[in-house]
Amino acid sequence: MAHNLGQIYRQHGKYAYNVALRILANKSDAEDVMQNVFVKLNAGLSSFRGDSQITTYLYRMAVNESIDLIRRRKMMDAKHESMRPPDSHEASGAGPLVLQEALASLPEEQRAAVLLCEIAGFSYKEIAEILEVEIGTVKSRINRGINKLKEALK
Amino acid sequence: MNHNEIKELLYDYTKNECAEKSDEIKAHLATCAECRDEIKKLNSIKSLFRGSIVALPSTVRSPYAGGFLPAFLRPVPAFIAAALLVLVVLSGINIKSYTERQAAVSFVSDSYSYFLQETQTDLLANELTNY
Repeated sequence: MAHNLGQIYRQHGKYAYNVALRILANKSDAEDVMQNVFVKLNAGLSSFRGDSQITTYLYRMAVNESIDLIRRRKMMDAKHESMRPPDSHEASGAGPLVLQEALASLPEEQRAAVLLCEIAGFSYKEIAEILEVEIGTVKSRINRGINKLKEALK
Repeated sequence: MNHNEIKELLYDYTKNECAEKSDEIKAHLATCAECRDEIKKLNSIKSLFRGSIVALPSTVRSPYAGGFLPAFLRPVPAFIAAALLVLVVLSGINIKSYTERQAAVSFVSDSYSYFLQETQTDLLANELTNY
């Protein structure tokens, strides 16, 4: 099946990158994640059934790779805590500090669901497909996440 | 639904995710200042997200920029095609002068270097894939 990958890159690349950027809170890490995602997506091209499935995988990989990177970093930090300088969102080039700090207060799963909803504009059903969870779980993660953001942004 | 139940559904309402209850919520909003204020707060969070969106950096390259053909089948730039044509023509001409031979070799060599540079990203991507 022919895929219009160039169009998917142009249409969704920016939003998938912004989701990764807000999960990671680091511009350089988000760029690395997205480059890796596009290479992997291209390599697995023959296994996709249609453009909508590629779009789902694009966001799923962007979210999963970003969360994996955070978890790997946390493990590294635990090992080398004394050697690492404190985090600075301003130095990371990740954008609005107030939003980034509020997002940092959310667990990764809530952060991903909120970002897919607010940055990429997906419906709860689409987010459930991307994250491979039930719609009820998506709804719960988003509502809890938004409530925490409201508190953090007061 | 009472006030608290409706308040918990307001975010879903702003996302059109509770269509079956939207009329009831709309009617409640007409009379409840607290819920209207809550909608304003939610909209300001949405604005914050919208304003935070940045462009995809040019450092993140599309692996599809050259189409979906393997690298060796992709169209080559016109001047590389011209260089190959010159090579074919030169191969049929008896070049006697050493300088002429050197110039021809340099031209083809330079063209090939440019071609390698252009396809470097694709080769790297393939290597990563096969790794």
